[in-house]
Amino acid sequence: MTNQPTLVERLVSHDPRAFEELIRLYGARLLLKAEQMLGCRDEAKDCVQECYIQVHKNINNFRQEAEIYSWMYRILVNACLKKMRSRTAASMESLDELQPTFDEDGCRIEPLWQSLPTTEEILEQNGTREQVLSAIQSLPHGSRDILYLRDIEGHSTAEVAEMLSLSLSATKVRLHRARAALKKILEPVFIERRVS
Amino acid sequence: MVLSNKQQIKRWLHKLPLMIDCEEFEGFILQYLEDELPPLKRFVFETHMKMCRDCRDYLAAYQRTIETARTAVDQQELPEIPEDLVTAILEAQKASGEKDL
Ligand SMILES: [Zn+2]
Repeated sequence: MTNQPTLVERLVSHDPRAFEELIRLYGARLLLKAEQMLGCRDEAKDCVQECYIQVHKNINNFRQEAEIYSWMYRILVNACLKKMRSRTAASMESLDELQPTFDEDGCRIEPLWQSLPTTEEILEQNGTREQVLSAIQSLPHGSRDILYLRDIEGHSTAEVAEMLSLSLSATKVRLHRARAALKKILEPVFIERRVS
Repeated sequence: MVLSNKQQIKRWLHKLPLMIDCEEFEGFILQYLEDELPPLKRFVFETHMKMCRDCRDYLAAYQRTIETARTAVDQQELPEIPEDLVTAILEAQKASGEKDL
């Protein structure tokens, strides 16, 4: 807390060491956030880099009473959203093969869950957290991004539509299909846990 | 395919007034969870859920999936910042600084 204003002052006065300090201070946190948002390390690195360059260019306009990390965080999130928007607009995936199935009478064909494990039970098992994370990443971008912003960051569906410049109805359809697909991909994780 | 009595009853129930089948139920899930179903549709949806074990289980697993995804991401640990990224940012900073001069 106490040395933060000093770092900002040093950044403003173009102290060459200060910028590297700022990278080492917040770089990991920003990279994790960007990687979570984008599900891709290379794109995440691009956004972190872009964020630092923005900071470098605009440090003189930074109001020092605010927290520099919150400012950087906002710049980063905007850079990630920009990336999401460009790839979501181009995304036409259907996820058809991962949707629930019904017989000719409209009856659901669903594996029987004897008892569904709790989230804690699922994640305390060795390796399942990585399986869940890679399942999220395996979704095509257009679906993954909506699911990430809605279900992981907790924005409303209307907010997500606005953030990604999509229509509300398209966002809803994609959100539901993304969730259904993720459920389908994770079924083995749930069932394995149930059996053991 | 031989249908069990239970399945036959289910098929018959789906055709009664104010009843929906599982496929129609599927189409209402998002609106239900977003609390956007008008009262009558909500009643129809909840009635189907009470009667249909498959849809009940499905919806529970669907919601558990969301919760599990959120928790798994929240529990991610902070990575080390890769040195190549530090170098790349410093180089980009120098390049942008030179452009400004
Ligand atoms: Zn059903």
